Amino acid sequence: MYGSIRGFTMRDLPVALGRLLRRQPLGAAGGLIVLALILVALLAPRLAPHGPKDAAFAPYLPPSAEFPMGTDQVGRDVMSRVIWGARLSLYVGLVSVVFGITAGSLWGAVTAYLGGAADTGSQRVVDAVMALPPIILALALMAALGQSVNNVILALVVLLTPTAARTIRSVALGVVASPYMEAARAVGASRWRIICRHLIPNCLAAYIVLVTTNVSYAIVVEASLSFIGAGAPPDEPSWGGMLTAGIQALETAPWMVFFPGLTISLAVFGLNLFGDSIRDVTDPRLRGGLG
Amino acid sequence: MRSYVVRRLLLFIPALIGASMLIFVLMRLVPGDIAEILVYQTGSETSGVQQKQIQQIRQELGLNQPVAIQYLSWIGGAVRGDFGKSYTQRRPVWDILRERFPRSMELAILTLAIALVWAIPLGVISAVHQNRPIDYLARLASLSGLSLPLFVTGALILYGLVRVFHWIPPLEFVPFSESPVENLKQLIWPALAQAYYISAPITRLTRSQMLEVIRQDYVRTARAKGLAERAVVYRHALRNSLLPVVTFVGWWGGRLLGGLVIMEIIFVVPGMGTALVQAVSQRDYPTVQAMVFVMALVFLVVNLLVDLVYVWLDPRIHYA
Amino acid sequence: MTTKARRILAALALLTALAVPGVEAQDKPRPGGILTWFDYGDPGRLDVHAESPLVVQQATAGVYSGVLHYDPDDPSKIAGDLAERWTVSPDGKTYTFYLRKGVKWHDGQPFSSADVKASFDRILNPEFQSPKCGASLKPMVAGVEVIDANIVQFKLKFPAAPFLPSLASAWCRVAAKHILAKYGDLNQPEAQIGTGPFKFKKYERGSVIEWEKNPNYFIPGLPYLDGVKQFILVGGPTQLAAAKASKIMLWDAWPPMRKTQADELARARQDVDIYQASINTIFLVYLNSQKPPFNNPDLRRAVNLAIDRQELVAKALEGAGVPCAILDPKLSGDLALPLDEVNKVPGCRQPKDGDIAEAKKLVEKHYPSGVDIEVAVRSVGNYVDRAQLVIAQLRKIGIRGTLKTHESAAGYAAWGKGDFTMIATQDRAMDVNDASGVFHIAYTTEGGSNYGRMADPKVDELAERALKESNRDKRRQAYWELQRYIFSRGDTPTIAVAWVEGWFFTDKKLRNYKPGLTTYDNNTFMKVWLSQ
Repeated sequence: MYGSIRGFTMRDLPVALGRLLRRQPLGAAGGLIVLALILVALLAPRLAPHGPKDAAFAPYLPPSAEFPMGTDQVGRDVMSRVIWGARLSLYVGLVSVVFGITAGSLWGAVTAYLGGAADTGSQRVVDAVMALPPIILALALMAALGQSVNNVILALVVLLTPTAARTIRSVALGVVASPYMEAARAVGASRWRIICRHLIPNCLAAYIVLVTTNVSYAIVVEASLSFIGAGAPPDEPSWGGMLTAGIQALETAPWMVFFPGLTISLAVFGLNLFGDSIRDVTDPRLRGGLG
Repeated sequence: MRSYVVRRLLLFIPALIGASMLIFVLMRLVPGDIAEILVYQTGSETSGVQQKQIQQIRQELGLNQPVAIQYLSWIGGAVRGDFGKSYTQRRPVWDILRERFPRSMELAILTLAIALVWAIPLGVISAVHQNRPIDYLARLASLSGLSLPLFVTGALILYGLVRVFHWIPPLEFVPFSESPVENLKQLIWPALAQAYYISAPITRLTRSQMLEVIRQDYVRTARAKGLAERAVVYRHALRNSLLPVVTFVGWWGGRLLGGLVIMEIIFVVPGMGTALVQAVSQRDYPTVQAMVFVMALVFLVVNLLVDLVYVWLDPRIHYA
Repeated sequence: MTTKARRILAALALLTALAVPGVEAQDKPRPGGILTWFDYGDPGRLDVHAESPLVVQQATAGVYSGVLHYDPDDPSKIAGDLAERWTVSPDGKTYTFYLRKGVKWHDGQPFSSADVKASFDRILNPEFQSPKCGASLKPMVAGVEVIDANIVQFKLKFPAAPFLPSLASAWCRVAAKHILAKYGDLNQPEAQIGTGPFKFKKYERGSVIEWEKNPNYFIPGLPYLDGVKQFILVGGPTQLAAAKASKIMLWDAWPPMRKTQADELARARQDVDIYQASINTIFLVYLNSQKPPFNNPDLRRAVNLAIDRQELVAKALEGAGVPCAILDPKLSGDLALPLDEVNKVPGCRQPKDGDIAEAKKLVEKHYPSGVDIEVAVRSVGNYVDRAQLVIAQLRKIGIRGTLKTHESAAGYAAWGKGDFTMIATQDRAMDVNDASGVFHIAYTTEGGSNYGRMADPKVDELAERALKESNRDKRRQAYWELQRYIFSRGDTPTIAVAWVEGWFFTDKKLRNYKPGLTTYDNNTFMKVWLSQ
């Protein structure tokens, strides 16, 4: 699958971006959404009119000028929680993915390169972890670690690492086995040079794709964990937690589901569109034939 | 080929054992065990009696032994099909499995069938008409399924049915053998919701695979030869692009047994997912072990079959 | 008929209807129909002697009879079930029950006093774990004797006022001697052989529990219903959807409906009666008296003063609760301190400015810049929301709490081991509607839910005295003294916030249904019927 070796290097980046905007309007839209998300997350303390945990107001107030998204069952401002929720979701999504995918990728690439017993052994471990149903693994992990935002990240890292390890390993195997690599070795290129100039750049494309597609996955999984009681503590402004509380009062206070639901959908949408375009653009095989 | 199959089967076993060991240890790291739950949750006995009772229960269930010994005795029984007795239901776990497995399997198959029927054609259409309006529409439609967390979709469906039709799916589980209509009336909703959710990655993968294959030389050659466009697309492109999709579907499908838990909860389907979540929160180790074992087994078997199909479909692929 | 005549006839009919009071109540009970309701979880095990969750009791209630029960027509009264009448010896230590004759088990075997003895020997066996019936009877009962085939005697260790209410509890049901001998326990569906109004028909795990009418029930004409179906519905949205879609006829279960759910149901269905009722459950806060800062009585007093029970009832319980009371007059009658006295106690009185100021001073005395603590709670229901309100209240007096949520079972393990500083909220349902319950569970040194490890000999002594007092007036005095003592101490590790109430509904078709005084009682539906 990842047979060809025309590497994607850093110099191609601005060209790729330009192509992105012209050829991938959806991706550009996705990128804008992601940018907006990041901005909201960064500026949360300034943007949110109230604290995310301030239960100072009357519960179940419908949207109004004072509370544009209404209040929830304890009397917290939904808009403030949604804004802070962007920060929390992005934090959870990014950190868990960066740690998980990076750890997994390094693991996969290294064991692919080393080969032999190390490779076989680690693949069995990966298989074992991946055979476990993810929701149950996360549930057990959260029960063991205790409910906190950082433990959610830890659980997600455990879920994401094996996937990355397996994907990157197969990419790396392809690289290692390619005739180009053999040529490099025959010429006498050093191990380090091989790793830096060939192995890593080729895995990079797959890595970027993994990262961009899994951030939204992490956000949605975190939300599902809240539903079965294995997510972040319910007082934290996580979109999943808000939705879990909101579906208890769908008719009474639909705004409790509507606004967090809208934002989480938008976030996932944007991240996926953006990620798709990144993949379309960085995939060396497709570069020649777009249009 | 045969040696490949044998080799794969052998690799299977360590993964299964590894998975079961992992969950075994993890469950024992979770604070609280069945003894503490039984005693502390009631809180009616005096505190002196409580300690005694906790020790008594632990003794009965063998929870005082070292973890390694507990695991060995479990695996010894498991290979013979004896998964022990559930701590909470006091009956053989095998009976629980026998009841729940077919239901979740049925739901999983239904979900996959719907997802494939919807997603693959959509992906093909999307690829063939790349970057035209129908492509965008298809991509947006499939993406929207992925965007809302499953439990929200499920809750919205349930609410919508009640609000608009004053009707909810049957609350009692009726097996397919007893009454297919009643059974489907209950299962169609969680299947639809879950299928919508998993169809998105399937559509995307189908699309990207088709796109890749459409550009291959031999497709160009086929076109040049003058075969009808349709034949080109469907015979050559689809067959080869299907391989990674098959792998992907196998991977996701194998995980459905556990992944269906949220839908099972909302739509009152007494399947493996609900039993497992309940067992975890009640620290019913034998049930957790057995269910996870079965789910891991299904996952590994499905993946094995998929890999075999892969090799059979494309003899060019060699596995190092 | 002329218009005039019609009008006169109509007026006469109207007058007749208005003149006859309670026309509805005079409807004759109509046999037939299947009652539908729900269980909030899957029972798993069915042994009513050995289990404690409500789901187990609910699943088996109509199948069994007790020696006594709470009268289905008036749940505040104890009536004979299998017993026709009973006598008490002058020293109050021997109760003789005269059992009905001609009662048959569901499998056709005859019932006799030997079955009563077998059941209670099992429950009272020190080696047998019976967290509900056993825990309440074992301290009181010395033994059970058979006098003849229809007379059985209970011998008590001391004259105990709670004995009859405990025996009448839904947990103290009589099982068959031959069934116990055959199966060893009552866990299996096949072992659900009782003498009750319904036979155990079906248990589809995770899905539904069904009872069917017992045609040979010892009260001829009962039950009216053909059967009862309990769906196993987990989770609020599903339960509410079932209610709105008319799939269930009543909500008499845990958890009670929240006000928002009750309102939504009222909008969706006009054919239901919605009412608010007590669930005989107390909302407690616990302070760990063996760890800082709450090993310091001043800090405990501060928390006691600062907690705004009325606000918690208004916000966390949506107004459905009785704040401050250690005993609820609605449940315990005159054994409870009058509410106007309770509402003047420090910590309970409104406005709270004085109490909050005093609390703040107490905290400052030991921690001039305030103190940081971990506030723990189990992550179930709306406990976390309640905890946040409590944390907000404590912030006013310089106690800065960080919330620590526990998964449900892990939480119970932590409470039992004393692995907490403060439990922000933990409800406790009473098993028996007797005033002694709350004290022996949460306030006495040996109390099983005395998580804060309170150890006050005076409380123990007063509670014991009240338990053993047979004279009603002296009993009331003892309980009043006990409540007043707890309030005057003001620094107990167990803090009573409120007695919890909730919303419930019944289908208008459902007649003669009277909810019991605890969540466990009066769910046999023996005298309930469905109209039209």
